Amino acid sequence: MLKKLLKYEFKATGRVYGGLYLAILAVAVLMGVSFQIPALLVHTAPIAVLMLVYLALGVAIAVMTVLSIIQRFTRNLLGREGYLMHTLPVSNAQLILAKLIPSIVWVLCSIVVVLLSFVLFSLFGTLNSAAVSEFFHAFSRYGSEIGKLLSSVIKGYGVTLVLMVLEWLASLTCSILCIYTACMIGHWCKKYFVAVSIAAFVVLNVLQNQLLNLLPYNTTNTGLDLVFSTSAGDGSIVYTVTGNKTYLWAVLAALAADLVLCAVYFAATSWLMKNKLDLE
Amino acid sequence: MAEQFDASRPIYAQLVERLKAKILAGTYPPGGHLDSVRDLAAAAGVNPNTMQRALAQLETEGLVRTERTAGRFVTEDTALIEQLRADTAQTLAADFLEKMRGIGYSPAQAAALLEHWDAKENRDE
Amino acid sequence: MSEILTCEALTKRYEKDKTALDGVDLHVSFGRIVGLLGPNGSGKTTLIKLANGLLQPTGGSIKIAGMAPGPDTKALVSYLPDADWLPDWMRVEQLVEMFGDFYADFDPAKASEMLAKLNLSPKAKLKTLSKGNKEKVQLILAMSRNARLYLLDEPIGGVDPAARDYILSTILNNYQKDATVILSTHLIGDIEPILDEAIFLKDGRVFAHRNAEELRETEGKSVDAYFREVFKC
Repeated sequence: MLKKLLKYEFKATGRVYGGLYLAILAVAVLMGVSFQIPALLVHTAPIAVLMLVYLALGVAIAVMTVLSIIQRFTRNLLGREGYLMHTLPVSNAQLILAKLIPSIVWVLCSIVVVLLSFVLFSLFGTLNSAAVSEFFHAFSRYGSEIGKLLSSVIKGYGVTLVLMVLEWLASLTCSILCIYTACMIGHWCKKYFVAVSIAAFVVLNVLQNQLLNLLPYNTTNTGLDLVFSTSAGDGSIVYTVTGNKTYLWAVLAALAADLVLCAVYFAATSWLMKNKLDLE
Repeated sequence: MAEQFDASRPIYAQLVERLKAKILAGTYPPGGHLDSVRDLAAAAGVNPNTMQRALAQLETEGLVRTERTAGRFVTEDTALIEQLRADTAQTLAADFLEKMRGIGYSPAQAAALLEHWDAKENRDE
Repeated sequence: MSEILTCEALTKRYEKDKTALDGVDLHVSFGRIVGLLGPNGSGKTTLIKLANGLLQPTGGSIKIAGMAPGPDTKALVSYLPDADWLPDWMRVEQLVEMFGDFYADFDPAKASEMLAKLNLSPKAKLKTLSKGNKEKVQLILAMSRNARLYLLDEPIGGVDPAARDYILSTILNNYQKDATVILSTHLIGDIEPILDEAIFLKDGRVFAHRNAEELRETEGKSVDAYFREVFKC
C-alpha cells in the first residue's frame, strides 16, 4: 500500500517540479551559450534578463520545495482531500511516510538540479575556450595524484564523511517531521491554524536546540587533518589523513539525537492524526 | 423509474396489489418467469427486502412458486388465477357500489349507468 | 458476526460544551438499507465520520463488523462524504484507476459503465465538471465498490429531481447482497420506499430506531410524516 501511496504522491507533486527543473536547466544552457556570442558581450541586456530569469527560477525552486512540504501535508491530509486519504485502507504511519519520503527526495532533487544547472552553465559558457582544454589537460596529467589524494581521504576520513551525510539526511528528515507535528498542533486549534502552526514550529525548534546543546559531544571542528610528505624511497608525495575522534563522536551523537527526535516527531504526528483529526 | 406509493401504508401490501394486478392483466402470464427480486425491486424503486416480503406473500397465497435454481414463476393453476380475478372483481364492484351509494345511486341505477356506458362506448367505435 | 455496525454508549464532544453525540446505542445488521434521519446538527455526519475513523470517540465504542475503525474496516466501507473530496486536478479515469489500485473490491468495469450511461467523459478533469456532475462521479466511485457497508452522507442533498432518481436507482442496483447501506438525509420523502429501517437522531441521541414497514403499519403514517411530527418546531 505504501508503494501505491508513493506512486500517487510523486504523480501529484512531479507535475510542478518537473516543469521548474526543465526550465532552470534550459535557462542555464541558454545563459552559457549566450556567453559565447561576442555581440552579446557588448549589448548585455539579453544576458541580464536571462540571469534574472535564472535567479527567479532558483528562488522559485527553493520556495516551492519548502512550500510543497507544507502544502502537500496540510491540503492533502488535513483539507478536503483528507476525506479520501483517510478512508483509504492504509495506516496513518503509511500516510505520513508517503508524504515524508517524496519530500526528502524532492529536496535532494532540487539541490542536484540547481548544482547541475551550474555545471551546465559553466560547461556551455566555456566550451571551445582554451580554459576547458587546459583544465582537462591538467586533469589527465594529475589524475593519478588526485586519485591518490581522494583514496587516502576516503581511507582516513570516509566513515566520518558517510556519517556526516547520514546526519544531514537525518536532520533534514527531522525538520520535515517537525513541520508535520507543528501542522498537526495547528490543526488541533483549527481556528488559528496558521498562527498556532508557526508558533508550534518555533517552540519545537527552540526546545529541540536546547536538547541538542545538552549533548556531551558538541564540536564544529571537522578534525580533517591532511599532511603532505615526500616518500623517502622514490620521492613521490604521500598523503596522511587523520580524522579527529572527538568530531566523529560528535557526528555520531548528533545522528543518534536526530533519529530519536525523528521518532518522537513521527509518533507525535501519528498520534495527533489519529486522535485530533477533524476534517471540516 | 420509481413507482409512486402511498407512504402511509406498508409498501409491501401495495406491491402485493400491483403484482396481483399484473398477473390478472396477463403482464405476468401463467407459468411465466419472474425477474429476480433485486431487478423487480430496482424497477419499482423499492427496497429488495420489501419486494421479497411481497413475493413471499404471493407465494403463501399460491400465486407464485419458487424453483430453487430456476427462480420464480407465476402459477400455472389458472383456476386459482380465475378465483383471484373473481375475488378482485367482487371487491372492486363492492367498492364501486359503495361509492355510488354515497352519491345517492341505488345498485340498480348504477347497473343501468354501466349498461348505458357500454352502449356509449360501442357508439364511439 | 451478524452486525455490520455496533455503537455502544458512543459519545463525541467537540469542545467542553459542544456534544455532538450523547450515549448512542445502535445495532445494524448486514443486508439492510438504513436511513439516518435527523435535522441539521443532530449528529448524523459526526456518527458517519466516527464510523470511518475520521474522528475518535470521546466515550463509548463504535465497531464495524466487530472491529474498531482502522485500515481493516476502511477496506470494507465505501464512504461518500458530504463534501468536495476528490483531488480536482485529476481526470475521471485517473480516479477510477486510483480507486482500483487501493480498494480490492472496486469494479472498474462497473464504474465505466455508469460513467458512459451518464455521458461523463473519462478524460474530463474533475475541475472542469459542473457541481452536479462532480457529485455523480463521486457517487459512481463509491457505488462501484463491492463493499460490505456503504456510508452515504447526504447523497441526494444538492441535486435536481432527475439526478435524485438516478442516484437512488444506482444505490438500489449496485449495493451488494448482504451489504448494508446507511444513508443520511433530511429529505425523507424521496428515499422512503427504499428504506428497511429508519434511525431518528435528535440532539445527538437515538430518538427511535424502527423498521420502516412496521412504523407505517403501527403508526398508520409514512416515515416522512412521522419524522415531521417528531421534529416539528
